[in-house]
Amino acid sequence: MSRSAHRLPADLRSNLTPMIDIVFQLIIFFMVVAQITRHRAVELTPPMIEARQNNNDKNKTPPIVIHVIPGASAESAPAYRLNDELFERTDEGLAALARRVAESISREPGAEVHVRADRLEDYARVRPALEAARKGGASTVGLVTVSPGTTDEESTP
Amino acid sequence: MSGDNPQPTRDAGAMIDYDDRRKRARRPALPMMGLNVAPMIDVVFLLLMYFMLITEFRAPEGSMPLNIAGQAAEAADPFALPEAPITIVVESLGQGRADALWRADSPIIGTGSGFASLTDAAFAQRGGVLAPSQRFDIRPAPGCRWEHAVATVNALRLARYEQVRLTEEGG
Repeated sequence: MSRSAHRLPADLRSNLTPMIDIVFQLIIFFMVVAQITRHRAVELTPPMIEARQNNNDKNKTPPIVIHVIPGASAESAPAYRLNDELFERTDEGLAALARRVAESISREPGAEVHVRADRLEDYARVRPALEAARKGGASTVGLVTVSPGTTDEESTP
Repeated sequence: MSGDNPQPTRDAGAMIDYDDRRKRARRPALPMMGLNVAPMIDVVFLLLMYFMLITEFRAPEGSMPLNIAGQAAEAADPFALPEAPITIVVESLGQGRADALWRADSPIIGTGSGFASLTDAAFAQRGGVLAPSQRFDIRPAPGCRWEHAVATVNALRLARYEQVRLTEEGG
Protein backbone atom coordinates (compact mmCIF):
# COMPACT_ATOMS: atom_id res chain seq x y z
CA MET A 1 0.00 0.00 0.00
CA SER A 2 1.42 3.27 -0.93
CA ARG A 3 2.15 5.89 1.60
CA SER A 4 -0.29 8.35 0.09
CA ALA A 5 -3.22 6.02 0.82
CA HIS A 6 -2.66 6.44 4.57
CA ARG A 7 -2.43 10.18 4.35
CA LEU A 8 -5.18 11.94 6.26
CA PRO A 9 -7.53 14.13 4.28
CA ALA A 10 -7.12 17.83 4.29
CA ASP A 11 -7.98 19.84 7.36
CA LEU A 12 -11.73 19.44 7.75
CA ARG A 13 -12.28 21.80 10.65
CA SER A 14 -15.19 24.10 10.03
CA ASN A 15 -14.60 27.79 9.80
CA LEU A 16 -16.18 29.25 12.92
CA THR A 17 -15.63 32.87 12.06
CA PRO A 18 -19.01 33.55 10.39
CA MET A 19 -20.84 31.84 13.23
CA ILE A 20 -19.01 33.92 15.80
CA ASP A 21 -19.80 37.03 13.79
CA ILE A 22 -23.50 36.21 13.75
CA VAL A 23 -23.57 35.32 17.42
CA PHE A 24 -21.93 38.59 18.32
CA GLN A 25 -24.42 40.43 16.16
CA LEU A 26 -27.24 38.67 18.01
CA ILE A 27 -25.74 39.56 21.35
CA ILE A 28 -25.44 43.18 20.39
CA PHE A 29 -29.01 43.15 19.13
CA PHE A 30 -30.40 41.71 22.34
CA MET A 31 -28.27 43.98 24.47
CA VAL A 32 -29.64 46.99 22.68
CA VAL A 33 -33.22 45.77 22.68
CA ALA A 34 -33.28 44.52 26.24
CA GLN A 35 -34.95 47.04 28.41
CA ILE A 36 -32.58 47.05 31.28
CA THR A 37 -33.97 50.03 33.01
CA ARG A 38 -33.06 51.40 36.32
CA HIS A 39 -36.62 51.10 37.50
CA ARG A 40 -38.42 48.10 36.20
CA ALA A 41 -41.93 48.91 35.19
CA VAL A 42 -44.90 47.52 37.04
CA GLU A 43 -46.56 44.81 35.02
CA LEU A 44 -49.84 46.22 33.78
CA THR A 45 -51.68 47.02 30.59
CA PRO A 46 -52.39 50.70 30.09
CA PRO A 47 -55.60 51.78 28.38
CA MET A 48 -55.75 51.72 24.62
CA ILE A 49 -56.74 54.84 22.79
CA GLU A 50 -56.79 55.86 19.17
CA ALA A 51 -55.86 59.47 19.69
CA ARG A 52 -52.54 61.08 19.07
CA GLN A 53 -49.99 60.30 21.70
CA ASN A 54 -46.82 61.96 22.77
CA ASN A 55 -44.28 59.50 21.53
CA ASN A 56 -41.79 62.05 20.32
CA ASP A 57 -40.01 62.26 23.64
CA LYS A 58 -36.63 61.10 22.47
CA ASN A 59 -34.86 64.28 23.44
CA LYS A 60 -36.84 64.94 26.56
CA THR A 61 -35.82 64.11 30.06
CA PRO A 62 -37.23 60.83 31.33
CA PRO A 63 -40.69 61.31 32.81
CA ILE A 64 -41.53 60.95 36.45
CA VAL A 65 -43.82 57.93 36.36
CA ILE A 66 -46.29 57.13 39.11
CA HIS A 67 -47.33 53.51 38.77
CA VAL A 68 -50.65 52.41 40.19
CA ILE A 69 -49.93 48.90 41.40
CA PRO A 70 -52.76 46.63 40.30
CA GLY A 71 -54.42 44.32 42.75
CA ALA A 72 -53.59 46.20 45.92
CA SER A 73 -57.00 46.39 47.53
CA ALA A 74 -56.16 46.81 51.19
CA GLU A 75 -55.22 50.26 52.33
CA SER A 76 -52.07 49.01 54.01
CA ALA A 77 -50.81 47.42 50.81
CA PRO A 78 -48.59 49.57 48.65
CA ALA A 79 -50.74 51.06 45.95
CA TYR A 80 -48.38 53.45 44.18
CA ARG A 81 -44.82 53.35 43.10
CA LEU A 82 -42.48 56.14 42.15
CA ASN A 83 -39.01 55.06 41.14
CA ASP A 84 -38.22 52.31 43.62
CA GLU A 85 -40.34 53.64 46.42
CA LEU A 86 -43.73 52.26 47.34
CA PHE A 87 -46.56 54.28 48.81
CA GLU A 88 -49.71 53.25 50.55
CA ARG A 89 -53.12 54.60 49.79
CA THR A 90 -53.37 56.44 53.05
CA ASP A 91 -53.16 60.10 53.88
CA GLU A 92 -49.56 59.68 54.98
CA GLY A 93 -48.65 57.63 51.95
CA LEU A 94 -50.22 60.06 49.53
CA ALA A 95 -48.59 63.00 51.25
CA ALA A 96 -45.23 61.25 50.95
CA LEU A 97 -45.95 60.57 47.29
CA ALA A 98 -46.70 64.23 46.69
CA ARG A 99 -43.45 65.18 48.42
CA ARG A 100 -41.48 62.78 46.26
CA VAL A 101 -43.11 64.17 43.13
CA ALA A 102 -42.19 67.68 44.23
CA GLU A 103 -38.61 66.61 44.89
CA SER A 104 -38.39 64.91 41.52
CA ILE A 105 -39.75 67.97 39.75
CA SER A 106 -37.26 70.21 41.54
CA ARG A 107 -34.42 67.89 40.53
CA GLU A 108 -35.55 67.68 36.91
CA PRO A 109 -37.64 70.75 36.13
CA GLY A 110 -38.35 69.73 32.54
CA ALA A 111 -39.60 66.28 33.36
CA GLU A 112 -43.21 65.38 32.81
CA VAL A 113 -45.24 63.53 35.39
CA HIS A 114 -46.90 60.42 34.02
CA VAL A 115 -49.54 58.29 35.67
CA ARG A 116 -49.48 54.67 34.60
CA ALA A 117 -52.38 52.47 35.58
CA ASP A 118 -53.95 49.28 34.36
CA ARG A 119 -56.87 49.62 32.01
CA LEU A 120 -59.10 47.64 34.37
CA GLU A 121 -58.11 49.68 37.38
CA ASP A 122 -60.80 51.42 39.38
CA TYR A 123 -60.71 55.14 38.84
CA ALA A 124 -60.99 55.64 42.58
CA ARG A 125 -57.49 54.19 42.94
CA VAL A 126 -55.99 56.29 40.18
CA ARG A 127 -57.50 59.54 41.32
CA PRO A 128 -55.21 59.88 44.40
CA ALA A 129 -52.18 59.55 42.14
CA LEU A 130 -53.43 62.42 40.00
CA GLU A 131 -54.08 64.42 43.13
CA ALA A 132 -50.61 63.69 44.47
CA ALA A 133 -49.11 64.83 41.18
CA ARG A 134 -51.08 68.05 41.39
CA LYS A 135 -50.03 68.63 44.97
CA GLY A 136 -46.47 67.91 43.99
CA GLY A 137 -46.53 70.83 41.61
CA ALA A 138 -47.45 69.28 38.28
CA SER A 139 -49.97 71.23 36.26
CA THR A 140 -50.21 68.61 33.55
CA VAL A 141 -49.86 64.88 33.76
CA GLY A 142 -49.45 62.41 30.99
CA LEU A 143 -51.85 59.51 31.09
CA VAL A 144 -49.89 56.49 29.92
CA THR A 145 -51.68 54.72 27.10
CA VAL A 146 -50.97 52.35 24.26
CA SER A 147 -52.17 52.47 20.70
CA PRO A 148 -54.38 49.71 19.34
CA GLY A 149 -52.41 47.12 17.47
CA THR A 150 -49.26 47.49 19.51
CA THR A 151 -50.22 44.78 21.98
CA ASP A 152 -51.56 41.30 21.58
CA GLU A 153 -54.06 41.63 24.37
CA GLU A 154 -57.59 41.63 23.11
CA SER A 155 -59.36 44.72 24.25
CA THR A 156 -62.88 43.43 24.13
CA PRO A 157 -63.45 40.17 25.91
CA MET B 1 27.91 14.48 -3.40
CA SER B 2 29.26 17.12 -5.52
CA GLY B 3 27.96 20.33 -6.82
CA ASP B 4 27.05 23.53 -5.18
CA ASN B 5 26.47 22.13 -1.72
CA PRO B 6 29.79 21.37 -0.21
CA GLN B 7 29.91 18.69 2.50
CA PRO B 8 30.71 20.07 5.87
CA THR B 9 34.26 19.62 6.77
CA ARG B 10 35.34 17.56 9.74
CA ASP B 11 36.96 20.35 11.61
CA ALA B 12 35.61 21.25 15.02
CA GLY B 13 33.55 24.27 14.05
CA ALA B 14 31.94 22.55 11.10
CA MET B 15 30.98 19.47 13.23
CA ILE B 16 28.91 21.60 15.51
CA ASP B 17 27.06 23.10 12.59
CA TYR B 18 26.42 19.73 11.06
CA ASP B 19 25.02 18.15 14.25
CA ASP B 20 22.80 21.08 14.92
CA ARG B 21 21.34 20.89 11.44
CA ARG B 22 20.68 17.17 11.81
CA LYS B 23 18.93 17.58 15.15
CA ARG B 24 16.76 20.28 13.72
CA ALA B 25 15.71 18.04 10.89
CA ARG B 26 14.67 15.24 13.23
CA ARG B 27 12.68 17.47 15.56
CA PRO B 28 8.96 16.84 15.19
CA ALA B 29 6.93 19.60 13.61
CA LEU B 30 5.52 22.08 16.03
CA PRO B 31 1.74 21.97 16.42
CA MET B 32 -0.12 24.64 14.53
CA MET B 33 -0.36 27.76 16.60
CA GLY B 34 -3.92 28.91 17.13
CA LEU B 35 -6.31 30.24 19.71
CA ASN B 36 -8.71 27.83 21.31
CA VAL B 37 -11.99 29.58 20.70
CA ALA B 38 -14.20 26.97 22.33
CA PRO B 39 -14.39 28.71 25.75
CA MET B 40 -15.09 31.99 24.07
CA ILE B 41 -17.94 30.47 22.10
CA ASP B 42 -19.32 28.96 25.29
CA VAL B 43 -19.32 32.31 27.01
CA VAL B 44 -20.76 34.05 24.01
CA PHE B 45 -23.61 31.57 23.80
CA LEU B 46 -24.29 32.00 27.48
CA LEU B 47 -24.43 35.74 27.00
CA LEU B 48 -26.75 35.28 24.06
CA MET B 49 -29.10 33.08 26.05
CA TYR B 50 -29.05 35.53 28.96
CA PHE B 51 -29.99 38.50 26.83
CA MET B 52 -32.60 36.49 24.94
CA LEU B 53 -34.24 35.52 28.20
CA ILE B 54 -34.26 38.92 29.83
CA THR B 55 -35.41 40.78 26.76
CA GLU B 56 -39.00 41.90 27.00
CA PHE B 57 -40.73 43.08 23.90
CA ARG B 58 -43.25 45.49 25.31
CA ALA B 59 -45.74 47.55 23.45
CA PRO B 60 -44.52 51.12 23.11
CA GLU B 61 -46.35 53.38 25.46
CA GLY B 62 -47.37 56.94 24.88
CA SER B 63 -48.96 59.53 27.04
CA MET B 64 -51.97 61.76 26.74
CA PRO B 65 -51.53 65.11 28.45
CA LEU B 66 -54.21 66.10 30.89
CA ASN B 67 -54.52 69.38 32.69
CA ILE B 68 -54.86 68.84 36.42
CA ALA B 69 -54.32 72.41 37.57
CA GLY B 70 -56.95 74.00 39.74
CA GLN B 71 -59.54 76.50 38.61
CA ALA B 72 -57.40 79.48 39.59
CA ALA B 73 -54.66 78.51 37.22
CA GLU B 74 -57.06 78.28 34.34
CA ALA B 75 -58.44 81.79 34.67
CA ALA B 76 -55.87 83.35 32.41
CA ASP B 77 -58.04 85.92 30.66
CA PRO B 78 -59.79 88.15 33.17
CA PHE B 79 -62.14 89.51 30.49
CA ALA B 80 -63.30 86.16 29.25
CA LEU B 81 -66.84 85.27 30.09
CA PRO B 82 -67.01 82.37 32.45
CA GLU B 83 -68.22 79.30 30.66
CA ALA B 84 -69.94 76.71 32.68
CA PRO B 85 -68.25 73.39 32.15
CA ILE B 86 -70.30 70.51 30.88
CA THR B 87 -70.09 67.63 33.29
CA ILE B 88 -70.07 64.15 31.85
CA VAL B 89 -70.64 61.23 34.19
CA VAL B 90 -69.10 57.98 33.00
CA GLU B 91 -70.26 54.62 34.21
CA SER B 92 -68.63 51.31 33.45
CA LEU B 93 -71.00 48.57 32.38
CA GLY B 94 -68.59 45.78 31.59
CA GLN B 95 -65.06 44.74 30.88
CA GLY B 96 -64.91 45.80 27.27
CA ARG B 97 -63.40 48.98 26.01
CA ALA B 98 -66.73 50.40 24.90
CA ASP B 99 -68.87 48.95 27.68
CA ALA B 100 -69.57 52.27 29.27
CA LEU B 101 -72.44 54.66 29.59
CA TRP B 102 -71.98 58.39 29.63
CA ARG B 103 -74.45 61.12 30.37
CA ALA B 104 -73.88 64.83 30.17
CA ASP B 105 -75.63 67.38 32.28
CA SER B 106 -76.34 69.29 29.10
CA PRO B 107 -79.00 68.18 26.64
CA ILE B 108 -76.76 69.38 23.86
CA ILE B 109 -74.54 66.38 24.40
CA GLY B 110 -77.11 64.08 25.90
CA THR B 111 -76.54 60.50 26.90
CA GLY B 112 -75.08 57.53 25.13
CA SER B 113 -73.02 54.42 25.29
CA GLY B 114 -69.65 53.85 23.73
CA PHE B 115 -67.27 56.64 23.01
CA ALA B 116 -67.59 57.15 19.29
CA SER B 117 -71.07 58.54 19.92
CA LEU B 118 -69.67 60.98 22.44
CA THR B 119 -67.11 62.18 19.93
CA ASP B 120 -69.79 62.57 17.29
CA ALA B 121 -72.18 64.41 19.61
CA ALA B 122 -69.51 66.77 20.87
CA PHE B 123 -67.96 67.39 17.49
CA ALA B 124 -71.35 68.16 15.92
CA GLN B 125 -71.83 71.06 18.32
CA ARG B 126 -68.31 72.40 18.12
CA GLY B 127 -68.22 75.90 16.71
CA GLY B 128 -72.00 76.12 16.84
CA VAL B 129 -73.72 75.78 20.14
CA LEU B 130 -70.48 74.99 21.90
CA ALA B 131 -67.40 77.12 21.68
CA PRO B 132 -64.14 75.41 20.80
CA SER B 133 -62.92 76.46 24.22
CA GLN B 134 -65.82 74.76 25.95
CA ARG B 135 -64.74 73.10 29.17
CA PHE B 136 -65.67 69.57 30.08
CA ASP B 137 -65.50 67.99 33.48
CA ILE B 138 -65.45 64.24 33.41
CA ARG B 139 -66.82 62.70 36.56
CA PRO B 140 -66.38 58.94 36.65
CA ALA B 141 -69.10 57.15 38.58
CA PRO B 142 -68.13 54.91 41.51
CA GLY B 143 -66.70 51.72 40.12
CA CYS B 144 -65.76 53.32 36.84
CA ARG B 145 -62.69 51.81 35.30
CA TRP B 146 -59.62 53.79 34.43
CA GLU B 147 -59.86 52.79 30.80
CA HIS B 148 -63.31 54.31 30.45
CA ALA B 149 -62.28 57.53 32.15
CA VAL B 150 -59.33 57.85 29.78
CA ALA B 151 -61.51 56.93 26.81
CA THR B 152 -63.92 59.73 27.71
CA VAL B 153 -61.09 62.22 27.79
CA ASN B 154 -59.89 60.85 24.50
CA ALA B 155 -63.34 61.05 22.91
CA LEU B 156 -63.53 64.75 23.68
CA ARG B 157 -59.99 65.28 22.46
CA LEU B 158 -60.93 63.62 19.21
CA ALA B 159 -63.79 66.11 18.99
CA ARG B 160 -61.11 68.81 19.27
CA TYR B 161 -61.90 70.03 22.74
CA GLU B 162 -58.82 70.73 24.77
CA GLN B 163 -60.33 71.94 28.03
CA VAL B 164 -61.03 68.53 29.50
CA ARG B 165 -60.53 67.63 33.12
CA LEU B 166 -60.98 64.58 35.26
CA THR B 167 -62.74 65.34 38.49
CA GLU B 168 -63.61 63.35 41.55
CA GLU B 169 -65.92 60.43 41.46
CA GLY B 170 -69.59 61.17 41.53
CA GLY B 171 -72.88 59.57 40.75
